[in-house]
Amino acid sequence: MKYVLNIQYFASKKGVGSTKNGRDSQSKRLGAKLADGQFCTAGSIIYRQRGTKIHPGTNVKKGGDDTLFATCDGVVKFEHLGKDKKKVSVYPQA
Amino acid sequence: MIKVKYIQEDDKYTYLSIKGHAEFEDSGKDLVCAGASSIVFGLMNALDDLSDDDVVIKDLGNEIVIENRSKSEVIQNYFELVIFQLKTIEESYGEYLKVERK
Repeated sequence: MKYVLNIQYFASKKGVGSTKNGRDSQSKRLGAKLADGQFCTAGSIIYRQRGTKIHPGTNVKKGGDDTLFATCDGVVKFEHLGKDKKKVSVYPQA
Repeated sequence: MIKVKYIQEDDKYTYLSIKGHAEFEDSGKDLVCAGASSIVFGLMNALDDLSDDDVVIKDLGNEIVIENRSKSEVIQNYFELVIFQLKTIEESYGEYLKVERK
């Protein structure tokens, strides 16, 4: 026979092994939930994080998963903490 | 996707092209490609066996083109059978193989 069968003639990639990657966990939507200068009520979540990227400041507490939340009504203020750190505070409106 | 195109003029098959990649699986494990390849190579050898000068078979790398000027009824039957076979694959694996009359 003239034409020798190439049984994968119309196949795509030639013999490339499959990858072991291609998995990822569900994204946790971390980051700021309230902006600087925004009014918030007591208990509002301000910042979701892993570890203390942002430290708790005045009227702000840190939850078990490092989430920062307000402990009173007021305006959110992101501030510097020392040379290279940041903190977030909530200042009651006068 | 493997694309199969054929032309019929006055009920005579005059052209058949099979092109593309099935993308059903990687090479070596692509079942749809194996089915289509077997059918097409079978046709090529059957036509070659008839040694009809009015049939031209071209292997273009990832496309097979068959041009037919012959009046032979046998060749018409070959085309008919192959198109039925490919449509049978399309019936079950339409995502990976498509048959179309031009």
